[in-house]
Amino acid sequence: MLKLKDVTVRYETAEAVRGVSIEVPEGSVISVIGANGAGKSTILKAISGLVPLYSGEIEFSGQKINRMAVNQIVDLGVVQVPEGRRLFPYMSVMANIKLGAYLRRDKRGMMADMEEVFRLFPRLKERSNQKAGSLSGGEQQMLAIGRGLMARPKLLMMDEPSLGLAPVVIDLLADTIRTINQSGITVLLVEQNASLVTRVSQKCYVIEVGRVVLEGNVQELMADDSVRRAFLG
Amino acid sequence: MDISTLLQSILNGFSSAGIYILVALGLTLVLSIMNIVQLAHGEIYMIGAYGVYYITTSLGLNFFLALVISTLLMGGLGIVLERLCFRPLRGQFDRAAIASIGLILILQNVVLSIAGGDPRSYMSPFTGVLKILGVAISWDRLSIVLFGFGLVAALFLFIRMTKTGQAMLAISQDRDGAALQGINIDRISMAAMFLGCALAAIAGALVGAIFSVSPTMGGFALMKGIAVIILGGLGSIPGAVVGGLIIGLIDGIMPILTTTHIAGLIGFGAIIIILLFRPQGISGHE
Ligand SMILES: Nc1ncnc2c1ncn2[C@@H]1O[C@H](COP(=O)(O)OP(=O)(O)O)[C@@H](O)[C@H]1O
Ligand SMILES: [Mg+2]
Repeated sequence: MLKLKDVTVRYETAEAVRGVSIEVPEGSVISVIGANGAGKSTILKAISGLVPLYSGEIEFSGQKINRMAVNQIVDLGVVQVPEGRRLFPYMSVMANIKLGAYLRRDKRGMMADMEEVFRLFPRLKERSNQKAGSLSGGEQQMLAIGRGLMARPKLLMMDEPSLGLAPVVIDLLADTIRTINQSGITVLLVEQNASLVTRVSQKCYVIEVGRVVLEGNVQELMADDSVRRAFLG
Repeated sequence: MDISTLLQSILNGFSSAGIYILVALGLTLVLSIMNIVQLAHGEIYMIGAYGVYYITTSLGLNFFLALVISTLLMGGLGIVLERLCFRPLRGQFDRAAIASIGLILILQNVVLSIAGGDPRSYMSPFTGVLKILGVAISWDRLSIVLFGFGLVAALFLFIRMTKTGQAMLAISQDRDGAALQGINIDRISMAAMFLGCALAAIAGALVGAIFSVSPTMGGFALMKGIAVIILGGLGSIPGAVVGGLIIGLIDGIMPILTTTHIAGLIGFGAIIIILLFRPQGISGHE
């Protein structure tokens, strides 16, 4: 479904991603794991069109997307729940959710999806009139995911959703990711939290200073203690 | 001092506030969507007023029609400026400031060469006085209050009720977050420049109807607009309204209590004191 072919991204000062190739088959949960500064967020930004590629190619459903505008990529169903949530803090929970459906025109489908989001995260319904910035960390992450789902994604990319969350909330997050995947949405998960990755995904790529250094079955990779120590600190 | 002088000066304060708010709202929209301060905003205000002057005097159209045409033309100029000048400078505060200073010089000199330096004037369509409780209130001032606050209400509704308005709020709170929802930042920037310039043109045209128009009239508007958005809190729309009311009322009322010079001092003193206690402005976020 999504293919990164030899992708390189350069910032003015540094090369953040070097020749990365990643493949995300339809229906799967694929993870990208690596320490801080490894280049994980840059990979997702490149897919979403927030940063240009220096070289390489990104393909979604057979279509080259790496020269498209951010909004066109969202329109194709490639949706990102970014690192740090990036909510609209002074707008209500409801307004945030509606903005997730910004490109959609089907009012009825939107209403149905909103019900679905509230069923998945009942807390959001209770707080729908509150400002997003007043929610707890876990609720904010739910809102960010709910907002992402409102775009009716084919591929949902999540950048370190577990960041700053308590262990019980991370359990809930794992369930949520599985539920989302079972509803037919392909997931690309970027994480530093190895236990979340082991629980939800099948295949994993390990990134170190901008390169893929290991890839393979999550269970096998994570069983290897040296991998855990070397890449996850 | 009698009651009618006081009421008249309060009304003057509100009408100044109406103008300051219209100017400040345009600055605020452009600042919060594009992350730049568009310093040639006063020139848009000035050209908006000249537009009405030429359309009423040369083409003989009535004031309201002229106001609509001039406003739309200035909104269009805003779109052109966004596309050609400010889009590449989005988020680059210093470069945008320098580019817009260049624009001030260009626009002022273009107007100077076409219209000359002498002040021009046109008739306000609002004449006569309204008597309330035995106090005479001039219609031209009252019309500015009504126009100003009507437009503020319309802008609030626009931002609350329309998708474009919500997109503007979203961009001002988190640019990348907004882009990731599929919001086209270029398009919304164009809309913000259109609205900002249109509001400035209306303000200029209303002022021109009471006083006169000249190529340098924009400097005063810019200065007041900047004071308002700093006082109100950078990027805050309610802040621009409250800041405009405070500065407008100070400007309207102080001169009857003391001399104009001291009134000016007191005005700035009050702003400095408020900012000492709330450096982020009245409704600014930290
Ligand atoms: N906007 C930027 N400009 C310059 N360098 C950046 C920028 N964003 C990230 N980097 C650098 O690129 C590298 C990868 O960053 P990032 O993709 O955020 O890593 P991760 O998400 O894995 O923590 C880091 O060295 C970081 O300092
Ligand atoms: Mg990151």
